[in-house]
Amino acid sequence: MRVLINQTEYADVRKIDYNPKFDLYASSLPITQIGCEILANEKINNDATLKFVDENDVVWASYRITSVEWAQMGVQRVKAEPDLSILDKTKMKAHMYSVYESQGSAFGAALEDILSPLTGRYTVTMEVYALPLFGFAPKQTRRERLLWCLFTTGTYLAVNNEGRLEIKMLTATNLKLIPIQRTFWKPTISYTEMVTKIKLTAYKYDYGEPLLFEDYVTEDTNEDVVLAYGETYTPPQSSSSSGDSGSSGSSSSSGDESVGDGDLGFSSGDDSGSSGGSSGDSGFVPGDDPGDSGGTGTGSGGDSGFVPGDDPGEGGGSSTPSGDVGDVTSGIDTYTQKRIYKTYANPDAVAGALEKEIDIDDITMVTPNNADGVLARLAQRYFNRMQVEADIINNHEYSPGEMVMVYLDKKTIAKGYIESCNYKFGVQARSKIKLVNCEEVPVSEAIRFRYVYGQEVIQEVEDEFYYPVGWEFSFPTEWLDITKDERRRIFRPQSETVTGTATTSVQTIDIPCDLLLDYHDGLVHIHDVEKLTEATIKNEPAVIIDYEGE
Amino acid sequence: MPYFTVDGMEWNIPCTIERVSEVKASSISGQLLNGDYFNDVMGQYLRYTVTLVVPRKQESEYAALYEILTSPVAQHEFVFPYNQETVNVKGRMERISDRYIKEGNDNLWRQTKFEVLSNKPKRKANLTQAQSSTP
Repeated sequence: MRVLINQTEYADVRKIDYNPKFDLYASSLPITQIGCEILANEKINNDATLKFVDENDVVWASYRITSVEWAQMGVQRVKAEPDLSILDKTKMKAHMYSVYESQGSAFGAALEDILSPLTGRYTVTMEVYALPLFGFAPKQTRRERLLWCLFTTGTYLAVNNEGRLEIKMLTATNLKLIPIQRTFWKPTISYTEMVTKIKLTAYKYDYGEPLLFEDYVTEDTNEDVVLAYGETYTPPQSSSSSGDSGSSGSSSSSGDESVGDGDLGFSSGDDSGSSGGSSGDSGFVPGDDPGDSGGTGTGSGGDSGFVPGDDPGEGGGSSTPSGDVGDVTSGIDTYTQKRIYKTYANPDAVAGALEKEIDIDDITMVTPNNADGVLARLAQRYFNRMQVEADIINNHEYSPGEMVMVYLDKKTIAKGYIESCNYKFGVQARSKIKLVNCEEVPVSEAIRFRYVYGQEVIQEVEDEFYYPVGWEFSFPTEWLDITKDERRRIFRPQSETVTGTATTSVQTIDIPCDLLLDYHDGLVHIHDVEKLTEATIKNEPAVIIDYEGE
Repeated sequence: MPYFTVDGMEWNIPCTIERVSEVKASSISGQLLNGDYFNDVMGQYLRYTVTLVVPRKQESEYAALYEILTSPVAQHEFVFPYNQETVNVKGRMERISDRYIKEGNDNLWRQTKFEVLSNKPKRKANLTQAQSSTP
């Protein structure tokens, strides 16, 4: 691997640390870092872009350098990361996206605001642009706001090779099968802890009476909802602010979220890791620092007295439903807030199983409009417990965020989303990929290939091959050079690949071949000279006496 | 033509030079799920083992050579025979040994042997070729 820094190439690179990650369910927005040691005597500019390039000039990553330090004489340790961390540097004011059930605020318009420090350096599809946003977002960093939007819309963030942010719909298109010949011995399967129930709090807002901006008084009533997915959950008893503030703040979720893969960030704590130069996968905290949330209902457990205005100390603390928060000083729009609890019981949980509940109650952009979708995605995440780790030869063909299929053994295949790739570099690259949300896929019966010349079976391929049922396989053929009973013959398959569709029945696929050369009794018979290579002819010492080609 | 050169010093006294080519693979090599072995070849590295015969009158040249070979540097620049030509090798000293003999008043060092391993491959594996052999 090579490194380009502002067009200067550094070929002597060692100790490369590159472990891209992907946040499938917007539980955090991990920041992938590249770390490496570069042999260079002149100080490397730490205000530049680092391009990570392979020998074939394929750009693997293009990130902004965040630090350069001397590891030893002539060796500098460089770290770089994508622009995502810029979003940690500034905060956004609180904002009410929509109180209406039928009409949300366009995600695309919100993105223009959230990603304004990165103008021109991100891409959003039209499909994503038009997605509606609902509910209220408190004062939070841009990265946190982005995460809330992704979480509630079911979209995800990718960073492409050029370092450009891309917001996409989570759809499994172009499913790839990692060949068994690229998979190292041997993938492992694990299962996350059983989650018996997911509880999600949705927030419903209505306009309240205009008040002077310091009169932060609203009502807060709870509503228990008959659930679409399963069991009914009995909400906390009182709607009074003091009574349930403790249970509905971020504290209740912090314990729950430590289960499973442990990276879900809907909990207390801050995300200093992302900008502080650590590996960047520390959890994002939608709740943010309680001190920052002002009068909102999400920060310090204060579900009471919700007012979507900003911190009173910052610009008046008033808001309008669609305008800039905090710009109105003559009055204030207030909203009533209702909390609606939805639960989804795990259908796989057996009676008497140890209860483990995931409780997400602090995302105030979860509203009745999007709660079902959010809940379904959470269920997909927590109830689908199978995970696979596999070492593969990966020359950047398989990246986090993609859904792939991988062989667990010769006859078993699983599919899942790549959550992380942990790379090691040689001439080629090897990565340990972690797949989440896995499930086994139906596998075909054995497929055998045999080379035939007329009625004669020249050779059978020893291996039996198994593919996902319905998979359109492509098997590369090769020339055969066979010497038997002092007779040498060279065959060439009529096509370079043989294709077919994997089925549930045993298949034997013939590969018809042409005879190019037949050498016996000191005579060479060339059947098709056009198909012979120069090297083949030179290697034959005998005199050519027969020629049937054109 | 000298038998070999090290850091500019030519050695013209007959000696035995043994050449070993090591085709090294990287640490990402390993067993695959289908039973094949994935060999991530990095390149051809040269290992030269030189055995010196030092005539009695050449002790001073030998002493100079010994100081160069044992100097604490990361690598030396050698020129060794390679087929019908020579090859420049930036290599590291792996080992040097000799044996002390006292003949009358003379302190003699005999049976000198040293090994050099090239730091860079003479021929480096090509990513495109490597990828073409990977399905």
